[in-house]
Amino acid sequence: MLHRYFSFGPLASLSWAVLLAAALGAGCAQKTVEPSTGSFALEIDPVVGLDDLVLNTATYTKADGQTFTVSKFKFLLSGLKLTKGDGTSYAVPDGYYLVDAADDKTFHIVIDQVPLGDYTGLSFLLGVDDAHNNGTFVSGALNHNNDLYWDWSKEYVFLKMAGSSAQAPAGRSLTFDIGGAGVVRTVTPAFKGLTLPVKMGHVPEIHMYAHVEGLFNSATPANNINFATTYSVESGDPKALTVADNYAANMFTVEHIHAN
Amino acid sequence: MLLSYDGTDVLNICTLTFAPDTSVRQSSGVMKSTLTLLGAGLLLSLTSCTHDADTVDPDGPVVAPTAYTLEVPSYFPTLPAMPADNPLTNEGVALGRQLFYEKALSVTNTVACASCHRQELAFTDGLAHAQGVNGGTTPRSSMSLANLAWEPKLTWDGSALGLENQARIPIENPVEMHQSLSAGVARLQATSTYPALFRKAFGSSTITEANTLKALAQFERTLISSNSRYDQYQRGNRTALSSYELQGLLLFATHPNGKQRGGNCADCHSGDLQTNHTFSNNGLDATFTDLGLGAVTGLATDNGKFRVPSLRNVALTAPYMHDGRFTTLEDVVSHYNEHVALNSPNLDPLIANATNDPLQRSRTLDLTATEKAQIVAFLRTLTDTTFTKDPRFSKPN
Repeated sequence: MLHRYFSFGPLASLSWAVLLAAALGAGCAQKTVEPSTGSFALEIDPVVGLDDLVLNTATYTKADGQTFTVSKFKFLLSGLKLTKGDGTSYAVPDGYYLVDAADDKTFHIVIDQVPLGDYTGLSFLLGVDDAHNNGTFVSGALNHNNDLYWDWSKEYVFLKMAGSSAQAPAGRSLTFDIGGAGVVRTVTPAFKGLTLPVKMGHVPEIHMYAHVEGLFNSATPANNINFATTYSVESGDPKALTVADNYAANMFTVEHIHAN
Repeated sequence: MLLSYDGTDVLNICTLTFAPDTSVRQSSGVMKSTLTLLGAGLLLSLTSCTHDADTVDPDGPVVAPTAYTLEVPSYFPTLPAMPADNPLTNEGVALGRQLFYEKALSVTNTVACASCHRQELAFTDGLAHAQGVNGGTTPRSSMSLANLAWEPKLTWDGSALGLENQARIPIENPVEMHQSLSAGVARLQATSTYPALFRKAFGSSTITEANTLKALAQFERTLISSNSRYDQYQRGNRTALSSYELQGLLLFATHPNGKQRGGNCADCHSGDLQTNHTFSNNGLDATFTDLGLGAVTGLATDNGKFRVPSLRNVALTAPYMHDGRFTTLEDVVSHYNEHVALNSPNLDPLIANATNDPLQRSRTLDLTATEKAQIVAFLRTLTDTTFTKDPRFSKPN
């Protein structure tokens, strides 16, 4: 069960240049981009309020006045779906994406082979669909080595937030590891009347914010997270459902769309 | 030959336009192989080829090195890309192995990399503090070497990005090998053997610092450990671990929440390589004598954080922690269970919040003596004697 990894001699770049030239020069008809599809990009910036998230060193205040810091903030997205004004939609197949506040390379996601058209809405899952939640993957966002997998229950952790709060009990930190049965949520951030124009020769971009405080704030006062009593939420904790409801409603906002 | 072409596994480029030609792999000259490729209908790279200065080398034409095939277990994470300017080659790896055991890289000709990274101890030295030249000792313990191709940051404090950068540190450190790499290179150049080995690996018999570091990095990337009993279990051999060890694995993997009991280990030592590749303060001290990551970043919020090491072969790598303070695995588990310095700045949040107390009030982990022993039993299944006896990694003749 070994797969082989090939590496190349010092002339590798030369060789690849030659191969590339071969591909281009020979026309490579089967790789021609289908004229009926295009691409779009998602830029997802972790923030608190209006500020870019700064890990470890910045202290933030949530709606009820409790304060917190963030040492870890990462989550999985899947099941992206674009909708048009006429009610039709396009579901992105097999797309699983990891966003990690510690790695800004993960903030930018490009999705290809999208049917051309003007889209007026977006939805996605925060987490992993049930069909793949017990999957075995060694690469990509669902790689078990991405620090978002519970080995004991064979499930993905959909979102991890860690940090500190002066309001947590003495000596306790903030650890929110959200996942498990019934926790996956569909997120439909408001498009605010904007349009995503997918067309040939352009890569329009949806610029979204991922608000850390969205985990803790709710329009329903009983669902606000009080760090004095709720500072550690792990697998199987009923509070995971509350946090998931909160972030589904409050975490993502569409800031603007670049037509590019 | 320079090219091992394996179709779409490597690069999804229009395979129809270039049929893999096994004769390319066998051809011996740069020009010949390039012409073979040109024969496939290409004109792009002729000028690059003619820049090969070694075609006028008085020792005759340079033979390009051959690609090294690294075998990676299917359940391991995908291998990160190699540095574009340092692909693995058989000649480079063989040279790196030679250099790893080469004492001429130390000022006194007495210490090699292998002095503190002994294969039979999973490339550690059995000491709390490594011993360098002239009786010097390091403040930190030698790290085990295995599966380093997956590690983005090396050393206990993450100060080295990539193995090429890491290799210079112990060579030049006054309490380790204490010799500038340029002086080491001059020594290698003066030998009767190394110029030819460098020429085979890198195309030039003029030895450089960069090529010395590249060769060492290549050898280290081949140090894959994947045949412990735990690996055999991961590959599907359900009898590779005893039920007692499996209890330990379950505890190792589980974060306790008051209902499920757990040892809280895999919160950081996660995945098949037993590391999440981060830096963490695991509560050794309330005040720090060694700032770890904080000394590198200058951030107070990083003080006391050290690399989360892989636990491969951990039963062979005593003593433990960055300063070697714990002699046994039992000591280590007892630390996490009942001796964490709870007032330590920047203590890992998941350590601060982990307890098996059903009411979640206890400040300590509260494992039973049996549970602690089960975790230790599991840790011992991570020993890979295939790795520690692999002749490809031993001192070359």
